Amino acid sequence: MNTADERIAAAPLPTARVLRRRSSIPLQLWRFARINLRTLRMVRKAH
Amino acid sequence: MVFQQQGFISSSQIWTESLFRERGVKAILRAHVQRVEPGKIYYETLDGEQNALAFDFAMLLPPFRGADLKAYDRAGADITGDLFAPSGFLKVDADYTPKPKDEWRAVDWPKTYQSPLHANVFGIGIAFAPPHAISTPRTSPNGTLIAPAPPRTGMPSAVMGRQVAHSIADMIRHGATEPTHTASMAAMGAVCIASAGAGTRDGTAAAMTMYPIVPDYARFPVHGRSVKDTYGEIGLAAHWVKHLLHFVFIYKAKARPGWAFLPE
Repeated sequence: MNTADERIAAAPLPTARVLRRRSSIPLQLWRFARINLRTLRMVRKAH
Repeated sequence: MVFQQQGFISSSQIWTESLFRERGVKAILRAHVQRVEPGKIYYETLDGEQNALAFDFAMLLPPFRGADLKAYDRAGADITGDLFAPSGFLKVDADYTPKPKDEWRAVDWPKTYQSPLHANVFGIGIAFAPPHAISTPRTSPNGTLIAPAPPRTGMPSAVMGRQVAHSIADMIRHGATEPTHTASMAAMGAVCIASAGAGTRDGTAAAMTMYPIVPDYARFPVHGRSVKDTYGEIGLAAHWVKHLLHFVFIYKAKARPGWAFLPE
């Protein structure tokens, strides 16, 4: 096992709660809006 | 790259390793592919070891290189070496003075993308020669350079294109003698969305923003980037955003009504 595999094997895993949040429709609709706002923020910084 | 999540500053390396562990992905880091034969890849790792990896399906990204264009002046003399870096990329208004990594500065990076030799020549996106890498370049004991090339992704490249177009328009229409618009990668941010599973209801992607693209330790002494504007998240929403952007990009590329109002 190389060093990368050792690091990956020791990396933190998401909890069941985190996994549910990643696929929760209501929460992800909110996150969709937030990601788009962050994107627009980056666009404004580029102008 | 560092992210601030739940009160902690953590590196993108941990974030990526977590995703790899979650998905059962194995990784070979700091390796240089030497050659590819049917069903087998030969590579060298940073410690100088030569290895081979069998594959059924391989997707490789070749090293970044310029298009190896040739250039000649009015007298027919070859000026390729004056115009282009050995990598084949066009030299622009960057500081190409060789320097060690601890002397790299954000101001080394170009702003106008104009050739210093010819005012009517510009190189943007993947065409311009970077002053140096962004990540630490490393060399194996065999002398093999193992270094990631600076990414010139779509968003910053499109911004460069727009700004250079404005400069050229001002030079033609208004007689400007110098470029009037700038787009340094040390002064712009980028958004990246990496797909990690399709499906409107169960898809996943990793959405990331970084500002600035090229770390600027003069403005952000600790991490080189704004912790507020550098972030990442994984989820269904990021997949929706990626899906949306596919349509937005094509709509803009086809110059459909209102295309100019869509951001790069």
